[in-house]
Amino acid sequence: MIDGEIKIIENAVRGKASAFGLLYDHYQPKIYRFVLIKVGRREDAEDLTHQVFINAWQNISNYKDLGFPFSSWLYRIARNQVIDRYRTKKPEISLDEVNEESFAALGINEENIDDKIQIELVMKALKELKEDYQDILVMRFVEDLSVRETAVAVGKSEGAVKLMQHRAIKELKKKLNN
Amino acid sequence: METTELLKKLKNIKPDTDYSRKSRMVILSNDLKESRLPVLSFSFRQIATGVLHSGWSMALTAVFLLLAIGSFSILKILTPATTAVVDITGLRAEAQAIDARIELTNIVYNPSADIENKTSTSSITTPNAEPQKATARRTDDEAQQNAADVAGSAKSAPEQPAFGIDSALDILSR
Repeated sequence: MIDGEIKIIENAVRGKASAFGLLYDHYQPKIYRFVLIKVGRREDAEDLTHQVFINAWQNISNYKDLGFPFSSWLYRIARNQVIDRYRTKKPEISLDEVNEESFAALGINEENIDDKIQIELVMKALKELKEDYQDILVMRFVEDLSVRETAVAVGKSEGAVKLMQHRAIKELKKKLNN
Repeated sequence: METTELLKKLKNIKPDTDYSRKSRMVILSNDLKESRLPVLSFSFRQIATGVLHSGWSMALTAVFLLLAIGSFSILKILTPATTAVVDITGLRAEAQAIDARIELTNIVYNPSADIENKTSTSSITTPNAEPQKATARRTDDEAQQNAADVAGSAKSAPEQPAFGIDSALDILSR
């Protein structure tokens, strides 16, 4: 959360582009990461992230602060964008096909080869999980969202998120060990 | 390594800075032209029309009020003759001279008229009009008798009781 986020959001809702710009700067890398892990292709992730922020900017006047964080609202848009993309277009390459060159194209700026391999493995394992499990793990452990924020973003109760998180980690561990 | 630790490594994924800059520029500039400005202009237009509407209505109300108040005072100034013609003291005296007293003693009960009314309405509305007519005829006779009594006939039978309005009403109500 940015300092003075409530005020920034209020200004953005009133149509101040500079305020929305601040929100973009803060949330765009997170949304991009979230989308990239889900789609596995840089071009698609860039496209979808761009679309997410266009939608957010166009509909920001509809955003009402009902005690839900702004990030949850953005993740929700991102989730819907990814679902819509999958409906119309199947992913062209799977993460199995990702090699060293395409790895760089993913935007992973990691110098250490071991780390790169580990990231690749985690992403592969994540892709094998259910959509909800993927979302919850990424939101909770990659984006450090609270249980409440995650619950709002995935449209589930906090209890359900905790339970799903537990199952998702268990399943991911199993996949990684295999 | 812990699974959660591995997941945290995914934080290293970052978007291309050039792409981010271009995307930011496109989103903010594009939308300002296409969607934000119409919203702003719409609200400005709305405000302007609102101000115009309220201004016009206020001005019209003021004009009507001025006309209404002004016409009274102008009439008073222009036509003093019409008000001078009216003699208020004379009118008051005339009103007091009218004898509006109603003497209750002048009110006379006319039972026959009442019975006629009753019979006429019952003949129209009720199906068993014949027995009612008979009763009406009987009451008519009784009323005539009563009238004779009231007129001061000293020859009335001593066994017959005095026939007043109350008894006539009592008969009618039966």
